[in-house]
Amino acid sequence: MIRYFVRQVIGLVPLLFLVSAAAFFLIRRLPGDPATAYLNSINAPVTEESLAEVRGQLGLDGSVPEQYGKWLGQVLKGDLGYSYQTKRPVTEELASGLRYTAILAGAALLWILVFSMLFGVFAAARAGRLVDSAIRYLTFLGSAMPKFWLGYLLVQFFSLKWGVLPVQGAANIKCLVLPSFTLACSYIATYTKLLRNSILEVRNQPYVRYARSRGFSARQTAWRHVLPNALTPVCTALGLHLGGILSGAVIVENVFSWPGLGRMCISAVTARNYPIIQGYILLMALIFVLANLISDVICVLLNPRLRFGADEGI
Amino acid sequence: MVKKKTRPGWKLLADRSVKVYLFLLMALTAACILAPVVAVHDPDAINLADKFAAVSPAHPMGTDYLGRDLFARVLWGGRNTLGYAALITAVSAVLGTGVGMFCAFIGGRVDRMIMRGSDVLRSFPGIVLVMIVVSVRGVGIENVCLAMMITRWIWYARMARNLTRVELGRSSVMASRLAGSSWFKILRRNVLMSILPEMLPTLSLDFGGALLAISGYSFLGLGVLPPEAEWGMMISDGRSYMDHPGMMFWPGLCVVAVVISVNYLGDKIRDILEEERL
Amino acid sequence: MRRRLAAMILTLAFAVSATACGDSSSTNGTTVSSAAVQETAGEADKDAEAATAEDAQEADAEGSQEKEVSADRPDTVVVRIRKDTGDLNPHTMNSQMFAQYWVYESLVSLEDGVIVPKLAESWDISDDGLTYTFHLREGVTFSDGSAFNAEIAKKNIEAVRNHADGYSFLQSLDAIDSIETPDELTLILNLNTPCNSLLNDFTYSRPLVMLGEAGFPEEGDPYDQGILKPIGTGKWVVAEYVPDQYTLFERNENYWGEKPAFQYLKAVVITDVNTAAAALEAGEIDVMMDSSQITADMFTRLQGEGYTTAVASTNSVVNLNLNTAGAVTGDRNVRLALEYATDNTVIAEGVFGGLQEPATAYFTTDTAYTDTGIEAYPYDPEMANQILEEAGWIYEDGAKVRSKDGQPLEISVIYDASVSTHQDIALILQSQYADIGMKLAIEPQDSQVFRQNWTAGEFDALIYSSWGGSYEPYATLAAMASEGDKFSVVQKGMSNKAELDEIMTDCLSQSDTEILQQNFEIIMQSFHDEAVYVPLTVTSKLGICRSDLTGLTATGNQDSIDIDSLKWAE
Repeated sequence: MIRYFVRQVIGLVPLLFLVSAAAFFLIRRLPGDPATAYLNSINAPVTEESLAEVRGQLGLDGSVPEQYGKWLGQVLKGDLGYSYQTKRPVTEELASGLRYTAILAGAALLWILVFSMLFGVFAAARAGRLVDSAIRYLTFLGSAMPKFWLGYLLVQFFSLKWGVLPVQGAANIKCLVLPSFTLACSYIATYTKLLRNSILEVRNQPYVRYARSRGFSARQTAWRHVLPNALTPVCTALGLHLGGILSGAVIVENVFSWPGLGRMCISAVTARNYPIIQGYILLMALIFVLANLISDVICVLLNPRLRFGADEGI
Repeated sequence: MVKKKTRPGWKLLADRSVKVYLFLLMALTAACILAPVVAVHDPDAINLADKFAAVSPAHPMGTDYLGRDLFARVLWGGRNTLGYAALITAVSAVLGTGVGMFCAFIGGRVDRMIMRGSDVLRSFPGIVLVMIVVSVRGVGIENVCLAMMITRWIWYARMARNLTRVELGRSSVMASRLAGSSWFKILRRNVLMSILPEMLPTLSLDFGGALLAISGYSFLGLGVLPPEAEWGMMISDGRSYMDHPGMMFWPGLCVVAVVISVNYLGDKIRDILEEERL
Repeated sequence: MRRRLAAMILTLAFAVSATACGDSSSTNGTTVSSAAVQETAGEADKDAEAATAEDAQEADAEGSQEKEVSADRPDTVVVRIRKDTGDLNPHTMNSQMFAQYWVYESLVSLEDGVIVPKLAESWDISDDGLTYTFHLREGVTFSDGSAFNAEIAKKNIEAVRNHADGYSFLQSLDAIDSIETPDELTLILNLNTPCNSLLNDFTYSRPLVMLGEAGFPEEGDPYDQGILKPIGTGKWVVAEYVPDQYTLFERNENYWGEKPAFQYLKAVVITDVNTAAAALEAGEIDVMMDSSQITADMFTRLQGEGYTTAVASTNSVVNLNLNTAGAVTGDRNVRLALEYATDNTVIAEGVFGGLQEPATAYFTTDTAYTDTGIEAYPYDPEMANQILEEAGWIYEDGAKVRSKDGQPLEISVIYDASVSTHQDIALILQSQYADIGMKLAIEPQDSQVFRQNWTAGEFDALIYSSWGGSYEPYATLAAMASEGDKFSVVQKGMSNKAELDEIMTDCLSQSDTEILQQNFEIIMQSFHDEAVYVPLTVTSKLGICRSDLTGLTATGNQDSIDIDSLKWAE
């Protein structure tokens, strides 16, 4: 188990290296020179001398591979440079945004887990009946609405009509409810369905029948045998979706004025704030691979049978 | 989208809801394709004297804040929204399936390298990729589509690769090989034909996903160029005009109808395939 | 069983794992008020975990109490802001102007087009225009209690002058030769050349405003080294700054003039304007005011619902800039036709719901010297057609678009995609120009690409709002006269460009007001004759606040958020 884990972690290193290189070279293809953008943003005249000076200040002198080498060296020391605009360290800026995006995504994951477990178990128990299709339609509706529209409607009802939840901000737990739910809605249908089908499948497995025949009650087998095994595909999918959830957060953060990474990233691209964009891409890639890794580990823990074949990868 | 010839296809059509959804989808698509005929008004014609007109025979859905006919805009917008979503899905599916099958067939180092490469691409945050492509190539839906394709084919590639590996291990493949069929023929006949139905549900669901993603990017101001209509952009514009909910309602209704339909179809296909397998 | 349990816990940990990630990577950096951030974040962490069980019933009493604190406290006014206030460095461009106006003051300020005293009670200008003597206000202290005097004023101006290159739009920095402080309350500026914009430059929110001694870095200037603390003489003092969320200001109890009625001012960042409107309706914010995002529809709707509103015309004009050196727009006749084909009353009504006035020239009539009485072109599509017809732009067998020598009459208009009203303007122009047989292609662009194309002259027409700051008209003239500047690029194809540049440069230092007025007449007449700019509308600043507040006034300064006279209605 530990050896498997270590091997996976080591496998991440070249991946992250490649992502960082791709990010670095790609964003340097952006039109609009960052030095000019910077001078414009501070309303300074754009002349040859001022450009040269700013390039020096911002570490933009030298060829792109040279710049990359320098940047990589700093990254390995945990230094992602300074934001061109605010002059604050990138790590600090990203950390403050990440904290909120993570809270948002975390809460969304909880909504997803809670609702899909609830609906999935219920739908499986009543498979083929009215409740089953009612759940299907309800969750479909949630996932078929564009997030910015759903968020808008939720605000109209929960905030303006009934006045129970705040429209925006990040001051307390109540502020988290609408944005995280909006974010979660697109995924609840998928997971409900996944869990429902997986439960139906596992229920027919010989070991479950064996457990039933040994005298365990239906409830006992459901909790001890069916659910943990049925959750395996849910975990895998969650790991794969986390990147999407974080990306999707951009829109939700805009609609609910949530101070997360998405807002920061959009303004960084607009302002050609290279260090922030690079940092953001690297961070997202890191989260993405870690999420996959964690979901692997959870699956293996949930389902010991997988442990032998685990080295095959997903 | 749905293969009718195979037996599971008939089974699919036996479901009444499937019929309803298929009809809905086809009707909407047809209406959008026939927009130049069906819609009387020019979707981009501004008529400020007639803004926020109520629903009437002349304007079946009313008009928007610039007096443009909403019915015409919904139909013309559908051409963009549905068309680009289909394009993205089709291109990524074909590309992805091709690459996936190739990888599974070749195996070894090439396979590992391509899969690693796709990992790198996949871990790129989609929104950044779209913003970068849009900045480099200009604002516009084509560029958003391009950026979306860059990552979307990977899902198909992984799926096709795994499915192909299973198929290649089957005895029927061995038999064909022994019977003297070329690998290309085997891949085309045995493998592709048997993995296609497996990929259908993904295709259907992905179409809905692509449609929603396009409207999301429109909301962020990265999508279709004005004055052309696009459902996501129309909904997003409507947010500023709360007193006139029609601006949001009609395009919203279309998005929901289409996405629910394709999700339902995808879901049903998957169910039937699973039944078949058992 | 234990393994199962572990797995379940891990699943939960997975859900909040990213949170932990955020905490660990933040250990190396602390911000101005990181304590506050940590507090809120910690709270949310705790709550996120608690959320497992509660999901359906979030309405826990504790949360709701917390939220009300600021809204219910009658001595706090909550204002929506679009962007984070920034570090409030008064000498750089990175902070928001409205916040700089709250915290800092300068020697003079501009009210309704007139320079009025601020930290200087009066001033004398020598006849040759080379010596400015400011008599400073007595008894003014910075928010930290230190005194404002000629020395600190000199220190600020010197610090700005050290980086004159960074403020190319201010003409006075190069003109100032030396600064004398004969006594505590007298400040003398000696110029090497007359400078008409000097007083105007001192009315802008930056950089010529006064930072307290304690705010200066130990070495270097605020421009390059940042500030230690935002200490000013203004009405408000920064109490708490949470980046990207809000800034809390406290009333400056040492303020020399009339103090605001509210003790606290909370400026909350809400990017999306529709969200802001909803927040206003939900009572989460009290006031919103800006000159670019609030839509006419939103404004009239909220007004109808009983919200208090205020409107003010600013000094900024939305213009269609025509590239005088462009392929099609290089033809003066085409530009003239565009002037006649544009009905800006439709734009004022259709896009801005009548809340903005149609504009008559590149500058507003309130801008010094620029109101020369030249009549703007009337809306006359027939005239436009006739001009095009005579110039050889004709419809070739049944075509919808005119052409001349095989070249169709097609131009594209570019604008910054982040300005939504410019899109609607472009749409209306497109339909108006179609009437005269011209095809207008609409090309919204990323802000950077827009500037790049503009500077490179790669455009036919562009929509842009003139600066309209208190430094006008001099700053714009200086930019128009400096070769290579994007403002100059537009005029490149004017027949009298070289002569015009000289006149515009002369305006900056011409001390004879009569000649100055003549100069401006030539400039405005040239713009008119050459049809370089199609004036569209005068930008309005719109303010909306809850109905139980009174004293909402909007000033003509497009950059300020005017909340100083707000108080609860009786």
